[in-house]
Amino acid sequence: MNELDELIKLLKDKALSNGVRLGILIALYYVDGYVTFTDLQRDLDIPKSSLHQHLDILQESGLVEFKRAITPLGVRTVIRISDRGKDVVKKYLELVKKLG
Amino acid sequence: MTASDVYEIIKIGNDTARRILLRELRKAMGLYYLLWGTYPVVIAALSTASYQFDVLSEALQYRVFSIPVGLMVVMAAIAVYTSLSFRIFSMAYRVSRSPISRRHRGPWPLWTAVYYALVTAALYLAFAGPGGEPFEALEYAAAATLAVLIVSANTAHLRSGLVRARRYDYLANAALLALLPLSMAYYVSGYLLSLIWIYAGVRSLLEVIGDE
Repeated sequence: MNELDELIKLLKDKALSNGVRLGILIALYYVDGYVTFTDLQRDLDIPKSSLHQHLDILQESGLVEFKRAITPLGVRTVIRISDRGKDVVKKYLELVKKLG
Repeated sequence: MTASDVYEIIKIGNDTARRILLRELRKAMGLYYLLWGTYPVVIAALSTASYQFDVLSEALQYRVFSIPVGLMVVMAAIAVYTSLSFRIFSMAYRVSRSPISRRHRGPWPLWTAVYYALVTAALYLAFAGPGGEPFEALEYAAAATLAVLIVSANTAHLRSGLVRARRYDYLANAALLALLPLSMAYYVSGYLLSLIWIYAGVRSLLEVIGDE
């Protein structure tokens, strides 16, 4: 199986078959810490309901974790990438690098 | 799923990741400026307290393994600040080397050579000739080298190709290059540097909070 086939197989997963979800996961991988739901919504400029939907799908696949936490701006929902999510992004980035 | 679908998902994915990371990197820069902006204030507070309270002054002068406790406290503060900075920089460094980064630059751009030429000329004028103090020249040169290293590290955020350099980034880094060596002779330079970095930190965080 070549890199492109492997990449197609990876992106066929429901959680990764959407560019926005893939982008959120890549960003969380590099941040390697918690990001608030409010910040994500402001960054992406999409409706709350759409972002919820994307994050629910990523959580169902075990790629992200979220919880309520105390932040300097008050209690917020915070999201971070899971260990499984990190493995998936690592694999994805390797394949993309090989494909140039 | 065809190859063109894959490229479309990758393109949207990269654009989305860049939008999120742009703000996260700028936020990290803001926190970094604010963090180091408070450093001289923390040291000054400790120093003032030691003047006012004899017990603290004696405690700071006490030696453990021939090292004064005061020096150990300063080193501990530097270690805490550095470890926090390392966490902030690791994200910028990893992004700058990732496939979603837009550009890569060499780590030692032209300004380094220009800066060293200016510092060498200044040191020569200040300390060369009869009555010069070679040791002081070394202290200034060490501070200048530290400033170059810090500014080079600071550009890691900008080398990610996601964060655009703002006027206050130039101001913060130029102030560091000029005022850090100068603070060896004039303490007030350190406080001025602190104020400029706090300003850069606040402006960075306002950029993230605002709609720029």
